[in-house]
This record gives sequence, structure tokens and C-alpha cells, in this order.
Amino acid sequence: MSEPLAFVFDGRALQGRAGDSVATALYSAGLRAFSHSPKLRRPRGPLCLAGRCGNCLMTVDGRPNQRTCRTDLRAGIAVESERRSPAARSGAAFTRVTRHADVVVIGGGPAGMSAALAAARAGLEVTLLEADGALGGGLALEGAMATTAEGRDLARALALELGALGNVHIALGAECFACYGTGPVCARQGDTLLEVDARAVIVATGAHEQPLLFENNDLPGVFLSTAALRLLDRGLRPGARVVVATVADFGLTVASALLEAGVQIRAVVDGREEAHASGPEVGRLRARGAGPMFGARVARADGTSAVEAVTVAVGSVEHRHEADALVTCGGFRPAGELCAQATGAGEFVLETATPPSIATPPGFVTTADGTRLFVVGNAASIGDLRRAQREGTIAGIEAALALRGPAPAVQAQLDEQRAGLVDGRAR
Amino acid sequence: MNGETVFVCLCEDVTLADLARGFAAGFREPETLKRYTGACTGACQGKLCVQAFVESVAALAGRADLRRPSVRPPLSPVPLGVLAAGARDLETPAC
Amino acid sequence: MLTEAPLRPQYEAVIIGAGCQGAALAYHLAREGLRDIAVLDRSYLGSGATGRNAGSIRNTYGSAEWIRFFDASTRLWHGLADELGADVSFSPRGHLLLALRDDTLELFRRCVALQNSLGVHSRLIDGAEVRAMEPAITPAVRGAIFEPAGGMVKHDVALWAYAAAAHRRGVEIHSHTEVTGITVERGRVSAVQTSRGETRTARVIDAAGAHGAAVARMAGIELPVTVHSFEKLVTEAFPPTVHRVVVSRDTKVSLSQTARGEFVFGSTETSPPVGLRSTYDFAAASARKILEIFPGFADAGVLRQWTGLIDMTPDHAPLLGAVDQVEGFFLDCGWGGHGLTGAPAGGALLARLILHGERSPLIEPFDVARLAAGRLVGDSLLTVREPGKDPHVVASR
Repeated sequence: MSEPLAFVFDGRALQGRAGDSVATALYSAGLRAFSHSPKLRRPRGPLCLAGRCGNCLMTVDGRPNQRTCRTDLRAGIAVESERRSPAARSGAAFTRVTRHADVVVIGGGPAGMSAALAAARAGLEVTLLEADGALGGGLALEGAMATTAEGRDLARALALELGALGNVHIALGAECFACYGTGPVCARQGDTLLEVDARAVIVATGAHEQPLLFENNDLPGVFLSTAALRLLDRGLRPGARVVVATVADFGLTVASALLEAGVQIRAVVDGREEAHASGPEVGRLRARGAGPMFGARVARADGTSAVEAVTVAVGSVEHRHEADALVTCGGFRPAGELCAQATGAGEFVLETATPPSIATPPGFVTTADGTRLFVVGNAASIGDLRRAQREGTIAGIEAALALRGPAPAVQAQLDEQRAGLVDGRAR
Repeated sequence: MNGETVFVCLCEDVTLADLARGFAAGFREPETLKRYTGACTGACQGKLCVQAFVESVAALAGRADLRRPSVRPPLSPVPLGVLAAGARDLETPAC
Repeated sequence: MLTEAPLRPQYEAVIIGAGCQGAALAYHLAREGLRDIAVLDRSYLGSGATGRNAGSIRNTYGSAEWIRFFDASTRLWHGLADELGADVSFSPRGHLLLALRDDTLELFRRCVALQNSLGVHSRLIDGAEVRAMEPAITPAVRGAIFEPAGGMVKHDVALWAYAAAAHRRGVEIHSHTEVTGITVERGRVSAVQTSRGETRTARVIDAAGAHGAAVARMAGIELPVTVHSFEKLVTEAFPPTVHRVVVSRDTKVSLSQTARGEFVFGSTETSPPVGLRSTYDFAAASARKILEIFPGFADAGVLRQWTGLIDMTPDHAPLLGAVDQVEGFFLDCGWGGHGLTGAPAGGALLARLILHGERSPLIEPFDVARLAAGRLVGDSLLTVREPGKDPHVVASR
């Protein structure tokens, strides 16, 4: 659907398309500096396009600090880059909705959907909270878990199955912001406070992509690789001449996706030794003349208000590439905040292997105030699609056994799933 | 690297050089260096920066056994109006 | 400002708790000439109430004892940066104590008269004047006590300034050093045991805030304090909107805007503690109450909520001074949430009491024995709880 939508930005009439967020509409209209940093007034552009980084905050229809990457574009919307104080808004109506469920699943990606399915099939009342407007999580991103087509098909299939079950309530656009122990699990859904009162909590919140550190890493034109994929999804490009810098296989996958979309790649910079990189991914890039430089890193990005050049260092040798965008992949860390907040744990322990991750408890834990919590998928530790589905399924079954008591048929399923685990983690 | 333009925390403009200066001034653990510099206290609530922040402190301190600063709710920004919708009728004692 | 060396075998004074009270006291003891002072804190500097409060400073109270003491302290806040030679980030932007009810206004009228008689330049203003000062405040406000000399301070910055100043004068501040025992021999303090070893001293000051009662118990003293939790929340940053510190006396909620533009708000009342886990009810109730005062702030996004613990005496007033039953053991606790405001005066006056036995008229009303003697020192502008048990200090050995 590419129906044009007229909107206003800083008093100027612009056009976007149906399906755009305000951020992608502004980006396709040519905007690169979306905000300025608080202390140093440095220009900032969209970095994550996932509602996390805070660079794309603008005032929308009088509401301050709106994440424009998470704001759907509508006809007539008025967007201002200037920061505003909060002010009374006519027609504002805040409501509270309370739901009761046996188990609440937080996150509608492959792990969460699998957990919801398993729990529902075992007879539990399930509420599934998904922050995005659609189910799928990482499945919607090329290469995150599978190719785009596979991922989307799987997401669609799982969503259909869930939708067909009468004991699953799916709340979209519902961002879980706390698990208050003796109180409910709380989510924000627009101007509604959604409270979920559940006897077990399955956390499937996925992972946060991490940025890389280099000089001027805050310049507009620097994108996280997942942000670059989101741009491609809207038929947009992070730039015409792009440098890709990565320390993980996912970055190589994104480089291939950019090439597929006709983006000129000036260099693929991989901080690892070649032995640690995925052979097939490296092969794909080499076949298109974009083989990675290994043991290399970005030293510096340069540009007055956006990326104009990227300096790559291999040891002490530096090479400057003219580029208008730098796509980075610093790896992923589990989105363990909810778990840390709910349990008071979440100790960060640096591991010697890369990438480092913030340790979160795997399996079911019972918090000090009696909440049953199970963390699965990328939210527990970074893994692949198969593992996410298996862990989610295990969590759903375990919830059923914990809440409904022993049941031989259900136990048999659990045993089968667990047989696929190694050392307590699905491999 | 010239640490003055390497941003560990974009939301609050905290650079590697700022962290080094804070460390030298005696703020040697994540909780105190976070408070001194403001790192990880901005709009992203640490999602993009806390790992780099703790790794930077670990590098400055020469140790790996560091805890990330405590996670506090809400985990994403919640408008006051939404939060207020959760208030139950409370006794208001006469003062 | 921190000492990483091991504890020395002996100190002239050991202060337990490196919050604003402990740090201020250490600074003043050193300034008075005492050497070999150690301040011990079980965790990182500012991990207690000092690092968790909203930082409002005021001298507008409802009893002569409180007014005199906190006015002296507020005046010291104004000169503190010069005194310490460091930024304390004190912003004397003015303080508004709001009345939403007419009977509160009457109480305010009497209090302002008392405050003015004691040299505090507060004044009673009506609702229209409140809203002229702060347009974001609800039209339902009846009036306020306005004190131009009140304001707010960045609590951490002030603590670090005190700690650094104390450190420069030779005070040792040891973080991550938990006190596990206090030796009392023949009725006097002689040593302190910690997680990093034992040290001998003849002077121990309990400035341990919410842990003050546990520490006192190590010396055989039972403190008539209860521990309560208070909660604060902070929003995203906005352009300057609220210029003064605003407290609603009737609904017990406060709000101020930081230099970065965030609204810090929270309840000024406390609840039985649920430890340091932030609670849902408090967040929701505080949000609703703050929207009653600032109805236009519904779209402001909350970023963070935290909890602190404070120790409260039956009359909400601090316990300052020597303890009869144990020689060399002093109390500097029970501040009930007013410890930051009271740090400059508390530190200065308690130092002179400890070193020279000087009992200034300002500090005398808060002496430790007052509760046993039935001399409650309440403040009519605060809600005074009914005392539960006999409010006096008891020695158990």
C-alpha cells in the first residue's frame, strides 16, 4: 500500500505513505537530523528505528517526546522538532483495563508465540503482550532469524494458530513496563494502562542490538543494522554509499540484504578473525565483490552534520572511505530489564567469549514475592530461531504443569522438548 | 581513540573521556560513575548504552566482576496519565 | 574522596554512615581540628536516603524549634559552596508549600506569623499569586507559603562536595565497609568490628539512616524509630516549566524540575517498607496526586521510579547528641526525610557538641533524652503520627 498521506512538519507540508511511521516518512522526505543532544547540541538522526534510542523524539499533535519511529503516520498529523512542555490536551482520556489470566507472555516473537501456543494448548488462559503493532518480533527482520519470507511465513502461521484459540488474548501495541511482584504485570497500550493479573509470567522480550564505539559515533547517518533492515522494509536505504561494520554474523547478513537492495557498499568491516565468521555469509559477500576485511574496525566517522566519510583501521593502518552512511552491528544483548526489575537480580558479568551478555536467570524462577517467572529465547541468551521456539514451548508446558498440576500427556511433551536441550539451554 | 567524541551514552552526551575523568575523580564503580556523569539515565533508559558503559568501567577499573546499575521501572516511558489510571481509591487522612 | 587503604588500628572518631549527615559531620569534626577520623559506609557513597531523595531545601516549618534549626541550616546551604570550595549545585529558586483547603490556609497564616517572628522571610500568598508564579499549577489551589530562600540541591553533588572537603582535611571515607559490631566495655565504646576488620575508637557516631537502629543495637541501644519507605519518580526532560520547588501539604506530594529539565516528583508521605523494590500503588497514587496539582502534565513520560528508606521518630524530629547509657556513643539519625536540609547545621552543631560538649540552643531540643522525658518536638506543618510505644531510648545492656 503506498497511498500518499499529507502531513505537516515544522509548518511545512510534506507527504508520506500509508504504512510509514512518522520517522520513516520524515526520512524519506530527506530529513537526517531529527534532534539535537541535550548538552552539546550535536545533531542526531534515527539510530535504532525500534523505539529505544531517543534520537527521533519530536512533538506530535501537541504531545511532547513522541518516538516518531513508533508513531503511525496519519493524514493531517502535525509534527514539530521543537521540544515542548506538556500541556493539557483536549480529548485526552486515560483508562485502565484489568485482565486476568493464568499466564502472561511478554513478547510476541517466536519464543513468546511458542510459549503462548504451548500454554494455551495445555488448557491455560493466556494473555500475550506485544509492543509492536503486529506479532513476529525478530521474525519480521531479514536474517534475524530466517530469511524475510520464511520469517514472515512463520510469524503469520503462528499468529493464525494463536488467533484461532479461544483462550489466548493478544494485546498489540502493548508495551510491558513493569512486573510489580505482588502487583500486576503492567503495560501501556496508547493511553490505556493494561494490568494483567497472572499466576505465571513468561518473559520473551528478545534482544537489544548494541552500537559500536568510535569517534563521532553519534553522527546522523550511523544506523544499527536492524534499523537499516527497517528502512529497506519501507523501500528506503540508509545511504547510497554505505560502510558496514560488524562484530557479529548478523551484520554480514544485513550487508548482503543491502547489496540485494542495490545499495553500493564501500567496505564491510569485521572486527573478528575470519575463523569466527559464518562461512556461508562471508561467501555470499565475496561472491558479490564485498568480501569483509577481518580484524578491522571503524576508527572514526566524519561529517559536519551527517556521515560523509568513514575511517577504517586494521591495526595501525587507516583507510578513509567516502560514504554517506555507516551501518553497524555490535551484536545483541538480551533485553533482560524486565527480569532484572522483577527479580532484583540481573547481574552483569563480563564473559571472556564475545559478545558479552548480561546474565539473566534461565528456566522458571520464583521471585521473593512469589511470582513465577520464566525467561526464554533471546531475552535469556542470544540464540537461534529453533532454540527460541523450543524454549518458549517448554515454558508454556511448564507453566501448565505448575498451575494445573501433573498431567502425563503434558509431561510427555515436556520430556520430548527437554530432550532437545543441552546443559539446560536449547542448542 | 580520541575519547572526547566517542559517545558511550548518546542521550546524555557522555563520552569515553567523561568516563575516564569521572573515574580519575574517584567514581570507580558503575553506580557512582553513572550518577556523576549521568550516563544511562536518559531517554533510552540504558537499552543502548548500559553494556558499553559497564564494559568501559571494567576497562578503567581492570576488573570484570561488575554489576550493571540497578534496573528501575518503568522499562519504557509511561505518561503520567496512564500511570495515574492505576490509582485505586485511597484513604486521605485528615491532617 | 574515598580511601582504599585498609582500616587503621585506631581512630579518634568513627562515623557509621557516609550519607549527607555522616559526611557533613566528618568535615566539621576535621575543621574543628580533630584528626584520625573514619567514615564507614556499607555500600557505595550515597546508596542510602541521601542518594534517593528529591533534594528540596526549606526552612518553612510550624514550630519554633524546627524553624530555628532548619533556618540556620538553610542559611548555611546558601554559603556552602564557598565554605567547601566546591560546587554543591544548590539552586535557591524558592519554595512553595501549597494549600488546597481553607483550613490549611488558616494553619499557614499562623505558621507564617511564627516564621516571620523568627526571621524567616516567608509570606502567605493567595491562589492567584501562586498561579502567576507557576502557571502550570491547578486553579483549585487556595494559596501557599512562599519562601524565596528555599530551593533544591543536587543531593549527590552536595554529598560529594562534603566528602571531598572532608577527605582533603585528612578524613578517611571507606565505602563497602559494613559495621558488624560495636564493643562497649564498662559503659563506654572501645572498638568497632567491620567487614574489613576491627578498629579501636572511643567515639562512635551513628549516622546510618535506615540502618541506624540496627547499628545502635550493636551498642546495646534500642532506638524508638521505625523505618519507612518513600518513593520518587522522574520524567523525561522538558523545557523550563516549573521554576520553584512545589510541595502540596494536603495531598503530600512534591515536584521540582531539574537543571536537565526532568520533573522529579513523589510522595512526601511514607509507608511501611517493602524494601527497595518500587511499588505499583505508590507510582500510580503519586502520579494521580501530581496531576491534581499539575493537570496539564498527563502526557509527561515517567522514566524511572525508585525507593528510599528513612528512619522516623515518634515526633518526626531527629535524634542528635550523646546517649546517656553508653559513653562515647552519639546519635545522628531519625531525620525522617529532613536529613539533607539539616546536614549543614547538623554537622556543624553536632561536631561542637561531640568535641566540646557544647549544647547550642538550636540542637538542644533534639537531644536524645527528650522522648523519655515526654518532650516531643513536633511540627504542625507535618502530619504527626500518634506515638505507638513509649518513645524513649532504652539500653538493653
